[in-house]
Amino acid sequence: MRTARVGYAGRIHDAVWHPDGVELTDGRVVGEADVVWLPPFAVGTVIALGLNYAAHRRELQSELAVAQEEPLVFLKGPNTVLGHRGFTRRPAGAKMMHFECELAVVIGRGGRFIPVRDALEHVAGYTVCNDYAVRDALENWYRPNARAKNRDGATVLGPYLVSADEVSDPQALDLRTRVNGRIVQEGSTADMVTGVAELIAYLSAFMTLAPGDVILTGTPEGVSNVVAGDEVVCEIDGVGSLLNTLMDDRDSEFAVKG
Amino acid sequence: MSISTFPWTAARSVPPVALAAPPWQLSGVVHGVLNNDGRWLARLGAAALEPPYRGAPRTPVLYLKPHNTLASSGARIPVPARPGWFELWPTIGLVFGSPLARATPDAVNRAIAGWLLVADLSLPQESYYRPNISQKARDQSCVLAPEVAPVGRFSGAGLVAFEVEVDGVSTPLDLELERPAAELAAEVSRFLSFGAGDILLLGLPPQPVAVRAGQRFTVRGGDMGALDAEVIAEAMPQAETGASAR
Repeated sequence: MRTARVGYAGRIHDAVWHPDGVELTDGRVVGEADVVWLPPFAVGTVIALGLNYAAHRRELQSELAVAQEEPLVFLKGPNTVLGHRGFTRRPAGAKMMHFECELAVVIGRGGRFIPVRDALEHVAGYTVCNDYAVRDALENWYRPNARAKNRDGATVLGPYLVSADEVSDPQALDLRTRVNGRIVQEGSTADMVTGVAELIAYLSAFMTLAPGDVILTGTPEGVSNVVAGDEVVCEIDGVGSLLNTLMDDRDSEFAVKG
Repeated sequence: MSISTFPWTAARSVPPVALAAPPWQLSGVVHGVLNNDGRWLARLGAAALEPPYRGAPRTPVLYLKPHNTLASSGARIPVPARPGWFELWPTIGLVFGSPLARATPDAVNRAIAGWLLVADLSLPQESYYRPNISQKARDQSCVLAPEVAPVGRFSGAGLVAFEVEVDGVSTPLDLELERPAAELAAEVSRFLSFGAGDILLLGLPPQPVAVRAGQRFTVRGGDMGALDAEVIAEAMPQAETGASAR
């Protein structure tokens, strides 16, 4: 199943994919552009991976101060979450804000100490994530730090939650990002350093995972700066195409020099 | 897993904490600031200037305590056998009475619902370079006092005094707010908006108190009230997990 949550005609609806847009629970079919898209599930803890694709690690190699022993994990709060066809504020004065196309894994059955062999049974489904970063804000304390990764609107999720039974192998998905229609990033989940099942086992070894928690599994090489007005589509085959548009933020802290 | 069982509407319970002002309940969103007491950084000494840090933080360093960490007074907090102990950092949280974004300190002051005494536990952190999620996001590691103290009980600036008692042995600690609460929240709100019922922990004292499995502790925060909890040995599963994490 491909399910969504959309705002339409004064309320929030559960909906499913339809060739002409979305089909609401009551049977109405509405165009994709005629609804407000929310993230397709109630978002719990957002657990993000950094440097989880081999080529992207090499891309950032010069920034790595210490050897990577364990997966690099950071958290993002609910202020960051945005749905499909939304608008993310792009801080004026920031030189490098880049997209990150990521497979998002949504937990359905929670647990602690989940063995690798059982891990995929805990997955409710998958969706697309664009995990924006503002590199100008990076500092070497709890890096990647919140000012770079936890900005409002920096975690775009959707459009649909694709149920786990529709994704036979999460490690065999091609993904790409288009900016204004041109492909700028390409990769495959086959290149993940730590795969989905291993990530669920790793994380649940030290924290209890609950339904609605979501793991953002990292991004391949090819991230690049985007500017206000850019239309960014993160696409994962079999999971979906997630659209986000950058809008100018003249009020940002980067615009004030001093 | 069908959509009808799906967590869209599943409420995540927040530990029972009394809040006698809007929004009358906590949201369960807890952010914290590492470096709001100058002595905390001073304790790192010259290491803060060396790699990987290459200098003191220029802005508040934030962390999240996700919902699995939230616990109420009286909690039993599991600690893994290795290393077998927690750093207990007493702190105080600003509880937001209404949503805020890009706020001035004055706007923050008008929006404060109250103050909450919190014990922020983490496994020992050797470095602050990476976000240390496997140390900071342990189950039950954010113990919330039973009641939010009214806004008038604290000015939001200056010194907050704590007493941490572990198995009857007391250690005084205090937190000296380099940035007053309203200023700190305003600065963070420039890029990270807060919701009603959110908490912003206002900084860590210069050093923590160690607490091991089998020990009980009480944190007293003067006018902010008190909380207590117990650290227990984590029960490991019998079967092999296929993964390891400290």
